[in-house]
Amino acid sequence: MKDEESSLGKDYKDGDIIFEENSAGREMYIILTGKAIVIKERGDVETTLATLEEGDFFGEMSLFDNSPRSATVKALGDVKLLEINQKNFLKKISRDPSLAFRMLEKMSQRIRITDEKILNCTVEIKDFIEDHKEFV
Amino acid sequence: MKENSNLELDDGAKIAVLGGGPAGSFFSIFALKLAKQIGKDIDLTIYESKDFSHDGPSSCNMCAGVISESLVQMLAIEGICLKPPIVQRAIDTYCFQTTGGDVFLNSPSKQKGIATVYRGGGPVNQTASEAGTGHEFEKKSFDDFLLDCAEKEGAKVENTRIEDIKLENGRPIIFSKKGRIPDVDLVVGACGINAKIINSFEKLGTGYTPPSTIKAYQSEIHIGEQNVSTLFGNAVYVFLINQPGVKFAAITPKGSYVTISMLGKDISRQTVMDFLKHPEVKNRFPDAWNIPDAFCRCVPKINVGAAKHPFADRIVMIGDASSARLYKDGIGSAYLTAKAAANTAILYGVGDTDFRKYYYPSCRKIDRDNIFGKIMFAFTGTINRTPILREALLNASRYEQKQPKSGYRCSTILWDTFTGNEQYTDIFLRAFNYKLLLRILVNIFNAIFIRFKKVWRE
Repeated sequence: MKDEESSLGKDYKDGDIIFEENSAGREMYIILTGKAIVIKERGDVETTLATLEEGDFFGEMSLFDNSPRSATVKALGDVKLLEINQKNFLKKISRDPSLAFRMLEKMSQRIRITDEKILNCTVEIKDFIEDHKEFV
Repeated sequence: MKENSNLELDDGAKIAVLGGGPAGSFFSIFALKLAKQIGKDIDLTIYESKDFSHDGPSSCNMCAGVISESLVQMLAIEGICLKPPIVQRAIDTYCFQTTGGDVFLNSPSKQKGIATVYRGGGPVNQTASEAGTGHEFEKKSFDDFLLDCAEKEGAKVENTRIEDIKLENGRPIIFSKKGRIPDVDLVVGACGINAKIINSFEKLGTGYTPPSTIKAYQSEIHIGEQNVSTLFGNAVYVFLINQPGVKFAAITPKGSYVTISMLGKDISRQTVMDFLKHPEVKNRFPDAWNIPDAFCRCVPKINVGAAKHPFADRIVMIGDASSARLYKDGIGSAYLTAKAAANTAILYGVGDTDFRKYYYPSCRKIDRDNIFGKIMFAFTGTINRTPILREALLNASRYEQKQPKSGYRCSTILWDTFTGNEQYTDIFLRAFNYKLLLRILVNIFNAIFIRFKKVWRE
């Protein structure tokens, strides 16, 4: 059977931008197949914050805080995404609050990883300052 | 009434889940996940006598196999992503076919959000090439896939039929062919309404009465993968052709088969043959195609009422054996009741009072919603029998599809009613929109006017 006829969601090709940083967003996405990268651009420098895989979700932050997208998400290879709009999502959560358990679990994991990264950066900066005391 | 019972699941508590369909698997997944989260060790066994990897009705939990967009999304949020070959066809369109024409409604979310699946290994008598096309060694049963998910969470699966259940000192005791199964702390009745064990639950004297049922007729007809793609694509076809004795008829594409689902009084093989011979239905099939002499079919009972008292101390009934949404989204109801029961058992307790307080409201919610469902389907039945109303509704929907700026009021009501995507209460309240009623009224006058004009000319 042809997979495209039995694959749910929307298709994105390699390099397709799913959403851009600072754009308005009313949807969250779940990766059914493929990968996506989360990037932030400052000037000419593009930094990859994370690589998302099957089963991961993104775009949920804007659904909760109604703020513009915090980063750009791009397809890495062919990706199939399930899109859930804000109204439907909030309806689901209000009917079954325990639906948010897994999201909270994932978001907690992300905060822990971010904490770890910040700590590593702080240590690296401190070491750098220590090593280059004379210049500082 | 007591606030909470003292019946709680301690570390090492044993749970017996009778039935490995979606309700049983969902319960197991959520109970084990939650138990792990709060650091509780639970010994959970699913008893299922069917082998879902085999083809034919004996290895299938017999339903149309359509998973609503809402459930697909909830499962994805839970981390259960549906993909081929479990998904036989992804649906983004519903076609409403009447004797006066058709209308195609596209998914409001503009994505292929509905999944059609096989509950067992597929229709009986599949050829070797069909059974394995493209995915030779992969499982394709939705129920099997969910059982695997439950096993990954730590559930044990025993290929045994539970023959009887009794109460001993107020504690449920279960029996398989081999004899009594060592004491369990909670028995979960996820056996559906087609299994014999449901009668044993009723005889326990706990006040449990199974829900009322009607019979549905499901048949899987082979037309070949190419024909399914060309003639049905990614659309489910609902037929409002006013066939005598038929309440509902739909064709759902799956792989190289189409599933014909019919509801009504005394539907027989002949009713299905008459349906297939109806000009509006025949037109959907290949020109030179003849109805096969033999095809995979089943006549399962479906839940159309609420079970009474679906819980007792250390016993809880879930899925179809408890409450299910009227005619639609049975798997969605299994998800809701299973999750509510799992949360209650792990977080609160397994006594009658716990289930009454924390589990039963979920069942009552479904039951209350079904009251509006009955009104919606009675209204659909009236439309099906009244050509002017049928035409007016069809034209209103066609207009909306052509003029998106006018809004999809009528289309979304039809879409949500037939896909099971929304609660009936929600749809019912949306139907009382003055703009929508005005639009339908204009189309009714239009249909009457056209008829008068025709009669006048004749």
